[in-house]
Parts: sequence; C-alpha cells; structure tokens
Amino acid sequence: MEIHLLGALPWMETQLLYHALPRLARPAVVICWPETPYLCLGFSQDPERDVDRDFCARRGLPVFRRAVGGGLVYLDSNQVFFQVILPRRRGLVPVDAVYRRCLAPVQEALRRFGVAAEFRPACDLVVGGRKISGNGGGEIAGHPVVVGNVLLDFDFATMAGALPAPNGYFRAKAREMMELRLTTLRRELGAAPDREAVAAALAEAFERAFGPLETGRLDEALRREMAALAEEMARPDWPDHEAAPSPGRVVKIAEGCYVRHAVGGGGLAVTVVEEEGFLREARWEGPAVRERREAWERLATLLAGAPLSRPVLEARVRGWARGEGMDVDPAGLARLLAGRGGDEEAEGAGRAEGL
Amino acid sequence: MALIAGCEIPEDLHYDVGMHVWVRFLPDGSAQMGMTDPAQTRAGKILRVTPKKPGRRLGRGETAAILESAKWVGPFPTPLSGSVVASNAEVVANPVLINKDLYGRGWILCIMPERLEEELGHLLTGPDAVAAYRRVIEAEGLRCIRCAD
Repeated sequence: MEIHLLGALPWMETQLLYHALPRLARPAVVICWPETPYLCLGFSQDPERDVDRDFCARRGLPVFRRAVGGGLVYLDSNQVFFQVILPRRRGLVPVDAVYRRCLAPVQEALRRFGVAAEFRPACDLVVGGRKISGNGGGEIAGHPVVVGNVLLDFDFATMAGALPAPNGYFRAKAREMMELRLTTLRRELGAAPDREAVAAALAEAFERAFGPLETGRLDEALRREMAALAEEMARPDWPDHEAAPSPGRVVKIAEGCYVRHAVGGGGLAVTVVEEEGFLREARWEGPAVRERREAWERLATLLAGAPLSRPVLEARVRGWARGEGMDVDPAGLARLLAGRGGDEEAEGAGRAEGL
Repeated sequence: MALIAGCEIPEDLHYDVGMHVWVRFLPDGSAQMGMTDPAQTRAGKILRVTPKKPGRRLGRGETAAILESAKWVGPFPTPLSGSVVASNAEVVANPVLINKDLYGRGWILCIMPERLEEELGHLLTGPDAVAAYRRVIEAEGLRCIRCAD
C-alpha cells in the first residue's frame, strides 16, 4: 500500500487521484488539500439541479461530480483531505467496518491536537455532537474507497450560497444549522493548526494503522490515468446511468440533521428543520398562508419538537385545523412535513450537505 | 423458499452467489435481476438506484446499476452479458423496495442475454444455490434483516 503525502494540489487532482489509483489497482492513502476552492457533488446528484450554478459561476468556483456517495460539499485549503483506497476484496463490503477502520487513524490524529472525536454511524466524526470530519465512500474498480476531510476552518457562507435553495429562509436555515452542527479545529482549539502538521499527524496515524506504507509517486501511469479520467468525467453523459427523480430539496447537515423543502397542492410549501427524528421548526409559505399568516405561525409553534411520525404530525395538524377552522388535508400536510418517510429517515435525492 | 440465518433464498431463482445477484428468466427470454437478501442486508437501506440506460450492452461482471445507501456507492453487477432492455421505474422512484420486496417489486433491471449458453454455468439454482449461500452466510457471519414497514 502506498502513501501520497502531497500538500497543496491543483483542485481537480485532489479528486482524480482517488479515482485513478483503484483503476490502476494501487491501494493507497492520499493526504492533500486543494490550492483553490471548488464544489463537489455526490455520484447520484444532478450537476444542474443540485448546486446553484449561477452562484458558482459568479464566484469562479468549479463544480465536480465524484464517483462516491454523499451530497454537495464545499472544499478548500482550510480542509486537509484523506483518501483511502483499500485492496480489492471478494464478497460483500462490510461498509460499517470499512468506515470504522479508515476513520480510526483520523480520530488518532485529532487526539494529537487534543480533540477527542467519536465515530457516529454511518461515517461522521463528531466532537461534542458536532461534525468535524465529512466522509463518504464507495467501490471504485472493485476497491473500497473512503474519502474525507478534517476541517481546520469552514466557509459556511459560501457553502450555503452554493446550495440550490428554493427560498432565502431555506438557505438561512441551512447555514444556521451548519454553524450549529459542524465544528472545526479553529473552533475547538481557538486557532487552526498548521495544515502540514495536521497532514503529518494523519500520515503517521495511517502508517500505524495500515503500514508499512511505501512512499507513492505521481508517476507517468498515474498521471495518464488521471488525465483519462478528467476527460471521461467531464463528459455530459458521465455517468452513463438513468437519472433518478428528485423527491424534493433536502440538505443533510450531519447525521440526523436535515433542512427540507416540500411543495404540496395549491402552492403550499414548507421548509422543515429536522433533528434526530424530531421536527425542530417548520415554516409555511403559499397563498393560503398569506391569507392567515398568524394561524399558520401557530401551527408552526404547535409542531415544534414533534416527532417526525406521520400519525403524530397528522393528529397535531388535525387539532390545529379544528381549532382554527381551517379547511386543510391533515394527512397531506403530515406527508409534506415528514418527508420521504415519516417513520423512515428523511434522506432523499437532490441532497446537499455541509460536509 | 430456504431460510438461512434470516436470509431468504427462493429456490426457483438462479443466483450468481459471488456477485450476490438473483436472476429470474422471463417468458420472452430476458433475465430479470436484483439483489439477494445478504446483499441488501449488508448494503443497508438503499437510497438511490441509477441503472444503466436501455440499449447499453454489458459484459458479465460489468456494472449494470449503481446503488447508494447511507454514504456508500456500490455497483450492482450483471452476471450475464447482454443488452439492458428495461430498468424498474418503480424501484428508481422508491429504492427501499430493494430492501423490502427484493425478489418481487424490488427487481432492478432486465437484460437480454447474448451468451447464455456459456454463462449459465456461473449460475446456481435450487438446492445447489441454497448450499452455496449457506457456506457464504456462515463464512461471513451474516444475519439478514429487512427495513421496517
């Protein structure tokens, strides 16, 4: 297994490396950061729908879609990336075990700076309940690949700006929840440590976990594969798969925390902030809301803190409607509030996330 | 229907046990396929399915669809060479069907095989499939679960 301790790289190389190495059957650990910032979409996301292209164009921010999971992330030199390409394996990938194994060295590296990060399934590292490392993974050319970053600092404003928000409230709430649920080394330590020091700590921890590691080189074969991938992944028909429908706008802030927007009949729409299976807050919009704004605000108050269970939500909406003399469909409103499940997770297509 | 450590293995289907794919041959000669119980258990709740487009020709072992569960993207390979003739729109719209009704409504796509005679030998059915899966399930210490209704 190789280790590539690379420091600052042209932004696209920070993505192409972990796509190219498995295609060359070269298990490796890569540690780097981008010279310039960019946005990165998850494999299942739509480059036209799941990022605000106008915002990115105005800011000169490139957009790249990766071949592993997760949502939209803003990446810059205030984050140190780690990318683990494991050897090919037969049989089913034990995803949980793979994430734990690949993130344990990151936890060790953070401990060197006095930061105790816990693993939170599926693949978050959290400090005091706040996410400090955003991670994702998948299989590339038969190799399990885990990629992630350590946040030295984070530009919440740009991340929020790049979200394809249906309204200003959604964007503001997404930013608010990111600032609440994410943390950085600067926040934890009072100042961001040196990038090189963080990279070195990661390298040592990965060496202890996966070593001995051979020093990798960006040799001709690797550069050729990266160039081929750059061309392939830039094609409009990449990947050559059917696009799945989007059930609505969802931003995943961290495990268990989402900002959602759903549209119902008659122009009624709702932005929901969800935390750990509970409705933290909801805000309604539409013609019916404008007619009786205070009544809908009372509904929002009534719903705050409710479990995201359709029967519970429906009962609360029904009670509110009776009290206010509102002619609404409680089951329909409960469906909008609960998202794709209601008694299931509120995951969905078209999602972005703070990390 | 065989039941091994909570894993359902219908004996009337064909299986590529190594790829964890089941195959049902349809009257028109096409091969409908999906994930087996051990595979969907290991994957967790499927959040997104993106199949290859109809008309695409694939070789045995090539990726016929991409499945995404919580923060993991993995391939769904085809055990048979051929052309994609259909993908399951219902599963694309509601991917959790792969977890809940994996051998029925949770089928993922259909391929018209082009090398069936030489590739059929890679598939097992009936008691042979059950025996092979028993070995895999025991070796990996698997216990199948389904997403709750």
